[in-house]
Amino acid sequence: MEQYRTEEEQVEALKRWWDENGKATIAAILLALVAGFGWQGWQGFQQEQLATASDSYQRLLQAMSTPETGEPDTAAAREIAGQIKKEYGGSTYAQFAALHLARMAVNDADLATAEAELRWVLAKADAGSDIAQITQLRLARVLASSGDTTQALTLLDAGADGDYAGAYAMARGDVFMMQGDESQARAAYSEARVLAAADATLPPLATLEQKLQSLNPQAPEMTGTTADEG
Amino acid sequence: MLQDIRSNIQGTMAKIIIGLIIVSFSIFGIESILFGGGSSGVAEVNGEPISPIEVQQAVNTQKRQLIAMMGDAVDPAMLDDNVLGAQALDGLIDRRLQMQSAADLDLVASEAEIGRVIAGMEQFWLDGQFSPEVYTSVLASAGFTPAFFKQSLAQDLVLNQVRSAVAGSDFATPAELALNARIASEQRDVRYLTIPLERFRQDVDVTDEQVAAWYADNEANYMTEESVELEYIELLVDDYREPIAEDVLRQEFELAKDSYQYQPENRVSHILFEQGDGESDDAFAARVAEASQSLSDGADFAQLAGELSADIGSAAAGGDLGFSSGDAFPEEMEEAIAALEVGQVSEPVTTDAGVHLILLTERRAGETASFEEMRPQLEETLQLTEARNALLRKVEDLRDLAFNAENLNGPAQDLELEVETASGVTRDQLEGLFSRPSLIAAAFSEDVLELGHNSEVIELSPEHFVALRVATHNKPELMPLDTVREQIVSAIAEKASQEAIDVEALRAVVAINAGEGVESFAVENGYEWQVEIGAKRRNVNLPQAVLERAFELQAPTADTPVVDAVSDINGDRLVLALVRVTEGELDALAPTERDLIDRQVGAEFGTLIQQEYQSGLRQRAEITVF
Repeated sequence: MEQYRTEEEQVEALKRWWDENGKATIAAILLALVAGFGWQGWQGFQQEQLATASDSYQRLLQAMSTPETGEPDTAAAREIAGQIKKEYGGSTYAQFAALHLARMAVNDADLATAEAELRWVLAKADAGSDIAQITQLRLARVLASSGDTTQALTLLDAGADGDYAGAYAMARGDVFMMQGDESQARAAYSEARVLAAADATLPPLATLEQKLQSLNPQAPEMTGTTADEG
Repeated sequence: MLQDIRSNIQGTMAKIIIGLIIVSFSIFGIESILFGGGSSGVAEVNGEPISPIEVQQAVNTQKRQLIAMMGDAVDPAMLDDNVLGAQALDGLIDRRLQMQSAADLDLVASEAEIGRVIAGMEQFWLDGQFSPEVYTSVLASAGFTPAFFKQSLAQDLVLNQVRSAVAGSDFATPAELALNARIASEQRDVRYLTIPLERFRQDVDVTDEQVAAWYADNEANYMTEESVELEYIELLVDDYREPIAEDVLRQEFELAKDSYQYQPENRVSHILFEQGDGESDDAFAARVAEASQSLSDGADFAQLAGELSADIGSAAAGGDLGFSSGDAFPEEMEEAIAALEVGQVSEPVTTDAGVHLILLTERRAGETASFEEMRPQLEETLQLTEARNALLRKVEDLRDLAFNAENLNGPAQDLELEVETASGVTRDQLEGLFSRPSLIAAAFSEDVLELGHNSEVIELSPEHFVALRVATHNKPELMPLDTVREQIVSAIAEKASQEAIDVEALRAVVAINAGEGVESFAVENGYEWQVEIGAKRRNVNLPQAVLERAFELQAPTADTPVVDAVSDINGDRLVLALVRVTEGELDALAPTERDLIDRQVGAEFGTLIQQEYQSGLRQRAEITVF
């Protein structure tokens, strides 16, 4: 190992080292800085993109809300939603926007558009994610309404064990009713009721209760023909 | 070893290490190294801690809401930090889970949107506009920092975005609409007659044997209610009030005198001039000078204000702006006002609004409140403070003594307190001191009721404390036959009446099933009858019991109605015949009905999905509560 005897020698050695390695050192530092700040810049850009997408989505919600005066502005809502899908196609906001487009299409009885939007979301969302499960359920319901109850049931059965078992069972009941299969519908609705009741804070689901009541007609309690006569 | 490092620094390795250090600092910043690590949370949700401060903040918010909602009636037990803390923590965990899920989805709230929301909140408005001062003071009084408030707003926005997509984008398909309309707007034709219980009241001769048998069969109905006889010590702040000596009051008054001073106030009127768009500076100055001149020539200020002032609001009132104690108007104006005598008009004063001529109309000098004026308030404050201190000392002493004592008499004697008694206190006591839930809970606790200990000294309010013990526990006992004979006789009569009316209801059901009309049976026997055609589930004409039963019953065949009987709340029997069921039809619905079903179906799927989303997050999460 080198030993420096005087200060001059040390300075001399440093200078020599700098002549040999100076450029490389500077280059390394610069490269590191560029990489570091570049990464930060990219992150910042991403954040900014998300923020603008979020802003657009808020405008979409605004357009769809019902102000005190009259109807929601669906034309504006469609335009904003389309824009979000186009400009921020990779973001979650695009999937949300498509879900709202599907809802608006269903409200107009335009089932083909609704199906297309829902399939678009399914293609984008991670398989098995919350959004994918919810979208698959809605797609099944739309398909059932267009008359394809078989494919609807296939989709519903595929997701029956997932996180949304209650909602899936409720939809399955509806599809069986559309097919005219009352006993299967009764079983599905009952399953939905049990799953929904797991959360005591959830208010009773009125239409589900009505359908169950309608599927479980009761005989009169006082008949005058059997035990009552005693 | 240092030598080794020094020599190695000169190698290529050194460059790489320096490079790595630079990169890591530029990415993570120095604070991650200085302030990182070490969690001290009360719970951990997927590795993220929930801090005690967050929980305390949520508890405080909840407390404020409870107090605002219930006022003084709020039971201190409800404000218990342990109870509220558990609820608050549960809520915070749910919220944290949703935030994590939102972060996974890359959802954010933009600064611009947060700004818009804050600016739109009327709590922060002054004169119809957002005011930064009001914003900070409202937040401070609610115990939030602006940073914390903004952060929770940002979270609210993001969570709302999730809800809007998960639950808010649900719908009802046309087929579902038709299906639900078929059932929800089903119509049922119902005829029914009313058999009044009154007509079947039985005057029965009840024998002693019957009474004895009934008494033996229904012992559970004839037990006395469980109650306790209590001994208690009640401590009230008012018992510790002492007169305050005159010289102490005077002393206190001298000390606090300055804070009782009223601020001097000035009442002013003004005339405002605004420079017109095309108006030159000279012409504008001349216009102001002219008005100023005519005022010193004796023109009426109020009249001139009405004619000239650009401040429309005050012009109609002769320019009057009301009182200011030195901070209502811009600084330039306040300085000019301070220099004026009453009745004097200022030189032109320039502010952001324009040029003002100001007249001082009234000046209230700052006055000191007199001792006599302040005396009642001072006396009350001093007395209450002293009394509270004395009360708290007593409470502490009582706590120490009562804890080990066999009953309350010893401690009471030592502390010169009085033991009072209350009798017949039940678990659902509704009146008096012992209707307070915390006292009932104490009296019927195992420690006090079973083991016979003194209760703790219970705080009902900072000015009211109670300690109690159970002297006698009256367990439920079978009441003697003689005291309940009357009750039993009427119960037997009631049972006979019910049986009689059931026989009659059955006779009606059998007759109608055999083909007799509801009307003819009713008329024959003198009962009221009604027909309701096309009753829907929300029908308001049918008695509730009839409506509910009509929709539970199976549908009738073409010419045989389905007949049944129900009781209403008065005990009358309603015999109904379900004549026809008509399925609902979507196309026949009014638009409002259709909308209702549409919203209901979408909302039900949405609610269920939102709930399953939340419980799914919980199931997948790793949650540790310390």
